[in-house]
Amino acid sequence: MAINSVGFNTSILNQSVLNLKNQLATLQSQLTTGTKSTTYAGMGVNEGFAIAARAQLANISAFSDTMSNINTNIGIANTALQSMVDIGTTVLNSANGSAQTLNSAGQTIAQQTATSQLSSMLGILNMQAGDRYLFSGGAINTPSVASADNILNGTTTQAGLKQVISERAQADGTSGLGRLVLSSPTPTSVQVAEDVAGSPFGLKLSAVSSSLTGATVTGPAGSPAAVSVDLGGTNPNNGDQVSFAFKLPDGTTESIQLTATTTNPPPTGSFLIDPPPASSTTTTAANLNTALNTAIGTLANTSLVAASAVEAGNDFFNTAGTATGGVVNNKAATPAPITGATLLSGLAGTDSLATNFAAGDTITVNGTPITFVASGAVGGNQVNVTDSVQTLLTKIDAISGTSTPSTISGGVIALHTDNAAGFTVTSSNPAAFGALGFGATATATQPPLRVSGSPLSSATSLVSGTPANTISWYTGEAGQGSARATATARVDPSVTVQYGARANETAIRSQLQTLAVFAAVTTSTTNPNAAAQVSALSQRVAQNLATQPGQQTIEDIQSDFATAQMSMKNAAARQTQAQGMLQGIVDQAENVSPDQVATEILALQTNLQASYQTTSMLSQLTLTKYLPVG
Amino acid sequence: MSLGSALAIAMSGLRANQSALSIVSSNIANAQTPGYISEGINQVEVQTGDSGASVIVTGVNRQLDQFIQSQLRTETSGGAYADQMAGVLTQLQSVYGTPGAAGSLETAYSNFTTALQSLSTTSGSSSSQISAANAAQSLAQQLNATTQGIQTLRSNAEQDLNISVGQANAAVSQIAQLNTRLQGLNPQDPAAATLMDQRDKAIDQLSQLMDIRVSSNGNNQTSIYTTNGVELVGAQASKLSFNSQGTLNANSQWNSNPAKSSAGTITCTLANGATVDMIATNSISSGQIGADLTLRDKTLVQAQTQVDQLAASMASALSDKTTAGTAAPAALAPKAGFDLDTSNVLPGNTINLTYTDAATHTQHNVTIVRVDDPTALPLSNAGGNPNNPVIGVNFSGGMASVVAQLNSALGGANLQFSNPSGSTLRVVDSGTGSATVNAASVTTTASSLTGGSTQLPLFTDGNSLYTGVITGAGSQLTGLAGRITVNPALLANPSNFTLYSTSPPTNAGDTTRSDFLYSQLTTGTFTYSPQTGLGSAASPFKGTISSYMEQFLSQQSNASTSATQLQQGQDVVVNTLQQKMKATSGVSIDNEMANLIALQNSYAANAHVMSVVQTMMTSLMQVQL
Repeated sequence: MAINSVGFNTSILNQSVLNLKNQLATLQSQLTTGTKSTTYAGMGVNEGFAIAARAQLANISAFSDTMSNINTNIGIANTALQSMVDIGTTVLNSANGSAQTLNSAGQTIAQQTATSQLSSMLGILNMQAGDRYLFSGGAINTPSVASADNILNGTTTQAGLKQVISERAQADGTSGLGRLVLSSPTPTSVQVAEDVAGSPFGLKLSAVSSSLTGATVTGPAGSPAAVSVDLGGTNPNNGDQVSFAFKLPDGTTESIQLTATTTNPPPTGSFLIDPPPASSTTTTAANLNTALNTAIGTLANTSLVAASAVEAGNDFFNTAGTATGGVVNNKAATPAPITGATLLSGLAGTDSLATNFAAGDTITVNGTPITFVASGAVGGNQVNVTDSVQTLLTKIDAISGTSTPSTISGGVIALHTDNAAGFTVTSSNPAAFGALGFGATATATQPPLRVSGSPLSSATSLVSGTPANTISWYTGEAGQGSARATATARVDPSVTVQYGARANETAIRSQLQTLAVFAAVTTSTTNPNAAAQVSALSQRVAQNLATQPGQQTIEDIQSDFATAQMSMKNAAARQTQAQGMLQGIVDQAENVSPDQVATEILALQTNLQASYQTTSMLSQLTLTKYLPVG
Repeated sequence: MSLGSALAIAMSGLRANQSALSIVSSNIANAQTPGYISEGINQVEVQTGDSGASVIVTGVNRQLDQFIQSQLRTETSGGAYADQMAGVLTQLQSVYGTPGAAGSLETAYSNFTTALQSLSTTSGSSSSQISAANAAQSLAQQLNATTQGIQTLRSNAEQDLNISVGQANAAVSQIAQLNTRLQGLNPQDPAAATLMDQRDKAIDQLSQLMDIRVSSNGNNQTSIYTTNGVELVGAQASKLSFNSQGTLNANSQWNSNPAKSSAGTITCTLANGATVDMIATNSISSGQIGADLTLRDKTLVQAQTQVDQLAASMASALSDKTTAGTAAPAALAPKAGFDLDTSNVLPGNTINLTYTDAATHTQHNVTIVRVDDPTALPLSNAGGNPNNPVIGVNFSGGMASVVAQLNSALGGANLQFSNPSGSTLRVVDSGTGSATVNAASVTTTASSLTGGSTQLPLFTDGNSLYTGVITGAGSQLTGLAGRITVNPALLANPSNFTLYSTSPPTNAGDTTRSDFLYSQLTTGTFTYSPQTGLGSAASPFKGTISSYMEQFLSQQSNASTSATQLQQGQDVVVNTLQQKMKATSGVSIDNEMANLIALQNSYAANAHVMSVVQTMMTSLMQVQL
């Protein structure tokens, strides 16, 4: 080691002392900032890991922000859904239990409850989480539903629910015979017939049975469908019964039972057997006709009123629709309307479509194709050309996801869909598609549905209401996909959660629909059937509010949300763990331990002091100092 | 022997003493003078009369260790190089900002991805959209600022070159002048020693600026050459000149062709009038000038390429859409291949082709780039993987010309190109089984914010799209980081962060686009040019954008750290040599003091001799015979 005096050479010593001072300054800045350096270079070799770790930390913090946003949204949505469940229970209880007395406005206490609960349910559906409408699907900036007043009463140009109910009531013939026609084809017979074949309105004949001695009952048969009771030459015995079953527009059934009686005048629900000596079956038949007329009139003005209102609610609210084809025949030797058993292709003279489908043809449902193959079809996207029409309908239903299976009846195919707005079915073979009864493109009637025709009482079909003439109660986004998928967020590089909801989901829509119908119906207090009408309505409301097997409930939506929350919770737990580890990497690469820095400062201080001391001592060591001055 | 001769000898001793004293005093006076070499006196005895010898001073002697001196000069230029490199690289580190703090690239990038992620839950909120736009803007501005920082450092290097070349010139001409003056002087002449000190000092200065070789001849002349033999000082001085370009930007690059060069070059005009380009001939590789040249033309250019590549990858990741070709009609069998729609191919966009050569079973990935500037063609594939060639094709002549160019470039690979209709490009194999086209796709740049696709030109090159256009003047990539901006149309309408289609209109809650942007920036994998210093031409670096950023920041920080370490090591070497130099050739005060005392004593002794002689003379005069 070279030892030098100060005067002899200062540069090395200068350099060393400067180095020490620089180190001291670095250590001081480390102590105050807690980090190794303010540049990437100063952080050392592990800085690359720290940069990568910091990027991941930024991602994790973004993800946790996202999760807290979603949790807030789901929390609010859950509260809303729980309130809706409570609303449903409240109205159900009051519909079941309360007194059926009408007030001056023509409504029961339960109906008034329904009115106020409807408003609050609509309010809940329009609730925002932040600036987001939770029940509008993808249209998060648009309110989900129209106001209660608009929905019930409409606007000056658009019809509301009340008007739709009233129109439907007229079309269903609630003030008449429920669109049924009574006649006497022969003097001893009574016939009940629907007024127009294929009309969706009024009472539909479903069955007739009789224990009338000597009488013949036929039907329902023919087009339009009819049933008849022919007493023939023998009068029934006292107590013999004839019973007619009817299907109401909302799918419920009611029956009328008439008893032959010798009591004169006959009590309600009975008809007088023409007494001897005449004992004319013609007179008895006329009596039966009168009694039936009264009974049907009563049914039309009681249960049918309620059923019509409920169905009008369905027309107004339901997003489902139907694409209906025309009547088509097969190519049997004697052409007959096609049935579910009709084959998609076949030789002339067999029960197959008038125009065959061939292998390679396709039918496209909402953009998803079903391909015809010669044989060995696999999965939902292939069908054999030798399969039946029913098989094809099942495959179409699987793709459209409808909750109501498509049907074929009287040569007419009705394709059902839960979402009429975007429902389209097309085919690469238009001729064969035509043999199924459809034009180039099959589209469904779009809700809301309105009664078509004038006068309304003789209407025979429903048409799509337009935005100009009918209120749209749901104002959010109504796409084809699942409601949950309308809001998706990534909460982890590999995990996405779905938390969207739409007010037109079956569970919410059906409750809203029932409440609105209950709230919209008013009953005339002067009508002798008022009590029966209200009772029939309350009964249907109670039934519709109760859980329907196989149908989505509000709790199902809640459990979907719970699943989303659970996957977020799991992701968050993983991220917390990763965060700790990543922060450790950053700290290790960039942070300094204050203890260590303090120790290093002390050591440096000692070094520096020693250097100064040495320098000072060396500076004294020079010959000049010891030379005599003189 | 006479008393007179004794007196004369004592007189010569006094004279010699005086000369020695003047040397000692000048040594002491110049103890702290830089470049001063300690001097000693040369004295010889001279026969006087029959007996006795007087002393005579013949000159001064420079106590110089030439071996240490030349070693010191070499290390000095190395030290100056290391100092300059370490200093500038430390400044470059501050351009990148404080790790993890605001104002660093990584923070701006993380902020942007965080803002995009938050759009996934608040897609319809205009405040979220605006904050995403702001984050994008601050990222673009951070890239602009980084570019500016790097280019300022390059401009500084350019200015420093100007000054350094001036200093080198001054040193060179001073050396030449001193050579001339020393020509007539005896090396032992005290005046010569001073001039030599001055000359050595000038050479030391020059060695700080550049690496030189010094050779001295017997005539006291010194010649100076660069390490590769360009004569700077011979019989006459050469003249160095630098044509400074003032402020540099990312596109200002040095080129050996003066017509293409937009950065200054150093020219040496030799004594015979010939000129030498010192940069083109690599004449200067060390010293401050060498460091400035390396920084200006290599290190900082690479740093700029790294941020340019970052900007380009970001822009392309968000705007480029790759569409696979559709299978060519079956009617062409046995030929098979693909039809590609080239209608949206902009200059810089690519057509990607994968085919397998049946003879060698090798898969080739051909990249066809639209290059409309004929002066840029053909593109160079130097250093690249020969199985993955890049072919430039001029589209300006229409499809027929494109097909002709491609057939001539790839016809030998058993591929056939044709144009069945419109702007469709068909590529099929020859049908002989000698090659199979595996895949073909077209990568185009989205130009509209609401074109219905999730891609959008989020970042633009000023007001134009970034497509990576290649022209004769270079690539659009160069300096992109300095020009990158957020698309002004997007700033005017930040809702396009989520709305990607007007017909049908995108739902407010649709997060398809923001999710795409986020995943491209965080998990999308891209290939980076080997000019960034990462990867090689044959196997370029591939990774996510953030891993690329991490790589180049690490690389720069390592470069800075090792430059600083090198500088510290070099400092120690230079200091040690300087110390040695001072120990052998410098002034030791203690020595000089001891000499002084000796001289004092010697002077007194000589004076005493004179006084004794005088006494003897007096005695002699008083003798009475």
